[in-house]
Order: sequence, then C-alpha cells, then structure tokens
Amino acid sequence: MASINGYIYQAEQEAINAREAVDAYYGIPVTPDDVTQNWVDYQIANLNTPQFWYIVFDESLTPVLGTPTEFEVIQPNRFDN
Amino acid sequence: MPLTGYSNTVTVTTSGLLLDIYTNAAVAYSVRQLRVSYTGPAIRVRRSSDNVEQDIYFDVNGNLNTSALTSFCSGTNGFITTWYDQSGNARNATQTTAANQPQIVSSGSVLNNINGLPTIQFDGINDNLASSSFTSQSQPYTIFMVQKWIGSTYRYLLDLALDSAIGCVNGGVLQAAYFGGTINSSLTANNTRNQLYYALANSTTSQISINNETPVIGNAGTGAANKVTIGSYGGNLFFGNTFMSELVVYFSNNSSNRTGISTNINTYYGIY
Repeated sequence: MASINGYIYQAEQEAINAREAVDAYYGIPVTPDDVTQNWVDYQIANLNTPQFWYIVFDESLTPVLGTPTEFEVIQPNRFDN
Repeated sequence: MPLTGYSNTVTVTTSGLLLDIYTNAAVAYSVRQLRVSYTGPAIRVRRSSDNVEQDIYFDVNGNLNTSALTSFCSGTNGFITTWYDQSGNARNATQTTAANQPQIVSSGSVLNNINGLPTIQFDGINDNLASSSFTSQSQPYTIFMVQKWIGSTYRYLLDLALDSAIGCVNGGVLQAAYFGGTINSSLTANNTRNQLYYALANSTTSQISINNETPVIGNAGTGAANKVTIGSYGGNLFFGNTFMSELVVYFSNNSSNRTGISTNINTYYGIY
C-alpha cells in the first residue's frame, strides 16, 4: 500500500481528458516528431477494489487540475517485499 | 593540406574508449563517449522554457558537450527525453511524458553531482527512462552503473525484467542485486558516496560489488532481461532518487573483466 498525492478518476476516459487538458495548457507536443508527447500521464490502480485511475501530483498540474488529494494505492509485493 | 618541414602533428588516441576495449555491450548509456566509432548524440534534451527538444553530442574529447547544453538551456531547466544507446544495438532509453523526465540542467547550470561531471537526476517520484522491450536474454549478464543516491529513502536504480533489478529493498539501506533472489553488497546505502555498482546475474554464483569491494557471491535467482528501465522498478511503481551518469550491460559473463572495466570507469569518474 502506498499513499499517493494526486488526482483520482473513476473512469479511464476521465484520466485521458485530464491528461489532454494539461497537454493543451502546456502546448505539448511542440512538434509531432518530439519525443515528449504528454506533459503528464495517468496510472491504473488495478489492485484496488474498485480499480481507479490516478495522476501523481506535480506543482505544474495545479493550474489545470487544481488541488490534489491523498489516497492509497495497493502495489504488488515483489522485490519490494 | 600536407605540411612540410617542421612537424607539429597531434596524435589523438582513438582506440582506448571503454567499449572499444571491452566489446559487445548489449546497452550502453553515458555522459561520456564510450566507443570511438559512435558518432551519434549522447542525449536528447527538452528545455522547460518552451519545451523545444534538441540532441546534444560529445565534444572532441569525448565528454558531454556541456557548452552546447548550457547554450540550449540558457537560464532554464533541461530534462532528458532520450539517453542514446552507444552499444550499436539502438536500445535508446526514452521518456515521452514531460513530468517523468529526469533532469540534467537546473536554471542554466548542468548538474554535476558526481565529482563535477555531468549527471542525470531521477527524482524518486515518477522519473524513469526505458528502452523498448527486446527478446528475453537469459543469464548470465553483467551490469556496471555509476550513480549517487539522493535523499534518505533508497529504492531502485535499474529494472531489466520483473525478476531482475538492482537497488535497495523496501526503502532500506541494503544494496542488492535481485534476479528472483537477492544478494547484498557489504556497503549500505548513503547519499554522500559516489558509487560504481557492479552486478553479475549468474544464478547461484551471482555477484555484487560496489566501489570495487570484494564481490559478494550468492544465489540471486535466474531472472532474465527483456527491457531496460532506468530509475525505477516494476514499470511505474518503485522509483529511485538518484544521480546517474553511466550504465553498461553485457549479455554475457564479464566478471573476468570486472577489474578492467571498473578501472576504466573509475579513471574517468574518480569514484573510489
């Protein structure tokens, strides 16, 4: 279990919309050939029930996504065990 | 035009770079030139002022061209979009998401946290660089990495597959090689030591050695390698807060060359 500061979405499309809004705000990509294609990306918490999607907080996101929240994400135990 | 009379020829030694001496690297990323015949860029950088990207090459001495880098990132921050693979296998490590790109320039100054040489900073939150997946390579394989921890939570440096990683287990200070099982270096992690991290994945005779300590040998498992992810483990799960300047991996047992390769690396970076 990890405590994440960020933005939480109940549907993947909501996370995609948030990502696109941030890309539009920062003008990413500058050119189609750039390596950088998104400003931020979302993750899936697929071990949580119900699963959800989230974006990890970064200061640059505040103007677009607002104030972040704290939430818990279940992570697999592998090498980290 | 040929000169006659007094000769003032300068001969540049071009046969002594790391991968010219110790050949057949599977992947090789560095802030220095590693192979004489490599003419490509070292890194591709996005500057934060306008998000424009540019390739940065090496200078005539084989060092990262920091003049070009600071000119491109004048007064702003620079982030790595691509760490080019110098092995010849085109396994470039990239990051397509701006927020997850590690940093190399801060407010116009090149980060130089490993003995004053250029280094790349991974934030331990969401930064990493990854190659495309490749055909799974079974053991043995050999890893050399130049890094320095940041902060006090020590996590993961490199992920080669689900059962193949190096770094610290569970945020502790034990520095491990994990290939399905774990062996630990006798040196615990701290954030003041520059490190040359060596690991050999070789089942029951795997090895780990940091800063030329006598290798710790043990059973670290049989995990294969199928992708290079620098700065995290488990895809986008566990991130390491670290500076990093070089990573070379051989898909072979190169333990017989550990001393030679380590000496070459240490001569350049002055680690130990």
